[in-house]
Amino acid sequence: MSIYRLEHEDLSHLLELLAQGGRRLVGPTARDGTIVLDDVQSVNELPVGLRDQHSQGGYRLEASEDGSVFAFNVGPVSLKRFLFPPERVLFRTRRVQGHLEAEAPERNDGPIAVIGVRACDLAAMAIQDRVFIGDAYRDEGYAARREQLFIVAVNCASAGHNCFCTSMGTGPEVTENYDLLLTEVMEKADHYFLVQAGTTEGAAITTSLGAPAATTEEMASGRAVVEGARASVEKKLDTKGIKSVLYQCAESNHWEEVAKRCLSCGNCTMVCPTCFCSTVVDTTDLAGEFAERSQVWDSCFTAEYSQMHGGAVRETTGARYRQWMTHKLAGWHDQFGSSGCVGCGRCITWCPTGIDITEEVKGLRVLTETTV
Amino acid sequence: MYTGETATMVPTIHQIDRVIHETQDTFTLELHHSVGERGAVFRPGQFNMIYAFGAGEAAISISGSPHEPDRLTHTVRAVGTVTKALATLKAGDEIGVRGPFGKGWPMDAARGHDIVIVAGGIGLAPLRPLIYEIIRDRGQFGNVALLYGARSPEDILYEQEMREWRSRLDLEVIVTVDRASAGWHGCVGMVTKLIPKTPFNPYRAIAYVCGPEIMMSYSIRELKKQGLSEDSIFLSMERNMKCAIGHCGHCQFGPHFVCKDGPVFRYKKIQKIMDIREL
Amino acid sequence: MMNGDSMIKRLLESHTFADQLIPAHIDTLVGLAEPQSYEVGDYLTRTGKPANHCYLICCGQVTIELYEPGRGPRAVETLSPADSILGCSWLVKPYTWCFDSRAIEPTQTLALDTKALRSACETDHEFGYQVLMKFVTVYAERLRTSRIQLTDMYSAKE
Repeated sequence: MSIYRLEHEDLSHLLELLAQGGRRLVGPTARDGTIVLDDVQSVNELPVGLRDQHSQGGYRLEASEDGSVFAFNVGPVSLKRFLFPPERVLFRTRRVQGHLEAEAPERNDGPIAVIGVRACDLAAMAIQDRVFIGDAYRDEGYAARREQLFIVAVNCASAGHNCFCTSMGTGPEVTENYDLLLTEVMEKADHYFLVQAGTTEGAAITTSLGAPAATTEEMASGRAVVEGARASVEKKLDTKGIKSVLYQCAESNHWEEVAKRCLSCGNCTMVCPTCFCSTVVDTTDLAGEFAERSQVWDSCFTAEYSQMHGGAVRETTGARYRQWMTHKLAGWHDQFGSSGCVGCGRCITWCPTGIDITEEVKGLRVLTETTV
Repeated sequence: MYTGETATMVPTIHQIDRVIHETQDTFTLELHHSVGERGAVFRPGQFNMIYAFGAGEAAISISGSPHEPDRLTHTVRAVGTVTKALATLKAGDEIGVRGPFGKGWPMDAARGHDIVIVAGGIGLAPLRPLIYEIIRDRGQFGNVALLYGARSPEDILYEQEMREWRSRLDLEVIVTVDRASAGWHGCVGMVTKLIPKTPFNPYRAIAYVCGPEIMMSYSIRELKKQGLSEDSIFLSMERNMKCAIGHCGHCQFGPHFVCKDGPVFRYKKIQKIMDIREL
Repeated sequence: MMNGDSMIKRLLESHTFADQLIPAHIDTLVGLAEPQSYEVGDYLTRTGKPANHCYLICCGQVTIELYEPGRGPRAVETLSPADSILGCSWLVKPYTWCFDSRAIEPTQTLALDTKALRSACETDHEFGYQVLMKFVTVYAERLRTSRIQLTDMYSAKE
């Protein structure tokens, strides 16, 4: 696929082309001190000149001062929200002449373009694809949204403090699952984007853009951006034999140690781009003629999650943390043939007490090594 | 068939033909089932998601015969919000049904073998379709024993049918209760105690176990003591379920989804994780 | 060996209690054993009475009962040949029965003279060890199942 040079000033042109045909435009935008994914209409709604600083249990925005558009890494909202909505109606039931009728509401989210998606979130999408449309039972709503999704991916230019995509083999370079891929290059006064198409739909856009082909030097600059990002990843998670490490530690005291720090708040599961658990909420009208059942995101950190008649299977916080981490790094391999973690680091950033999954893996490794 | 947002999550409405009062807190719902409707065929051990209007859904095993396609039978114990709502329904009322879901009791491998069925409490319900199947093809099996443990004589399910089965010469049926009441002339004690009394060839026997987890653990321990291998024991697990299709995550038991990988598991597959607390 | 003894020996050898016992120990037991038959309703043990015998159940079924004034006799467990033995009160002072036990089917047992059994165990510790291990194995299992029954696992948990 050819690579084109898109001038910084022409980004708005790309947005216009993306919005054609009634596509809803979603992109990164600063709101309430974070960069979230939400509807955007123009370039000036993008987080121009902003970057995010991540720490264990900490996040803040600061000025990047160079006018870059995609200097940030990940915000609390991932692509997940646009394919697997936090809430949706499953069906409505009503009494009609003494009989019940149940039907799913019509829903058509329409075509959507999401701008600024990173390699980690694309890997997460591929993982959720296996959960929702890769098995015997298909989530038709997810499939329809997936079908109508146009992805404008962006290569990261640098890593955040909690990023460990290189350990999980998911980034920082975007290699698949995109329609268009942007690499933001800033060299002295020169500010441009390298654009390449990953699908014929994407190629149609690059054709309409009418941007010139990138020169060999510009392509080399693009490579340097990606390599710079790769080199700046500080955090590591050793995945060697990870499944057996987790399974071996199922009855370890380590979980009680984590439980002293874990508040069982579920933040990690809400920001995780692969967490797919949901529960259902039933409501009725006062007359008892109408009832509705909705699906909402759920977290394995709640007591209700494992509720059976009589009580929760996982009463303790330690058991819930073990469930989350073991599922993510071990069980997922058995269930879906890959890790459930993409190394985006959101769970570390948004943990109120700064629990770091990479540190917990190190702790468990020490335990398995000493017991062998 | 509807192919909307969430087709597999939308129940099909069924009318209740008959409610059978089984015990103080347990009842059986017989639903009219039009042939050709979704889920017309099920395998013994599978379950449906039963929807009570406005209250929600509960995973309920199918307890009727797989050979009565126009009738769908569920035995329900009123212990939660949904099952208590179901308990208020009567013939003519309607409920929603999704399913059937899950892996049932493997039967083909059992043909030609001795069969030991160990049931505890409401755990008899998911085993009943299997018993019907075995009785129907009785000649294809060796010795067949049904060992059933209940809390008290008043808690015995399917009493009339149990009597019929006991009168058959080709079935060994033993019932035991934890708490005897006056007039009870049967066994008293845990169901595991019945296992050594049962004639089967441990090298050629298949065991099907369903009941509370403690009861299943100790039954398996006794079956193994009698020489059965981990390969020949099957059990049915229970966990919280919201979707029944492996999407909601709730029923995870180690790496397994109880809804789609189970509820029936070969013991060998889960023996390592069965004793881990709060898994 | 007398005719009666050879019958007892045959009964004993076919009973699970004799599994893996050496012939000498079986012979000792034969000298202490006496076959007994019970009709339905016959008592084998009565609460408070001396535990002069313990029983190897050969066929039939026996119920262990606890009598509560106002509630009558309540069956707490039933025993059959698969349960091997009945009675451990003879092992510990004051050697009196704690429960009633009653045949609920025509039942045959080998009754062991417990006074003689205690003294045989005392005299021959190897024999005593083997016999006690038989009892411990059975009673550990019975304790285990009783404990599980205490959890009332079939009840609805609220």
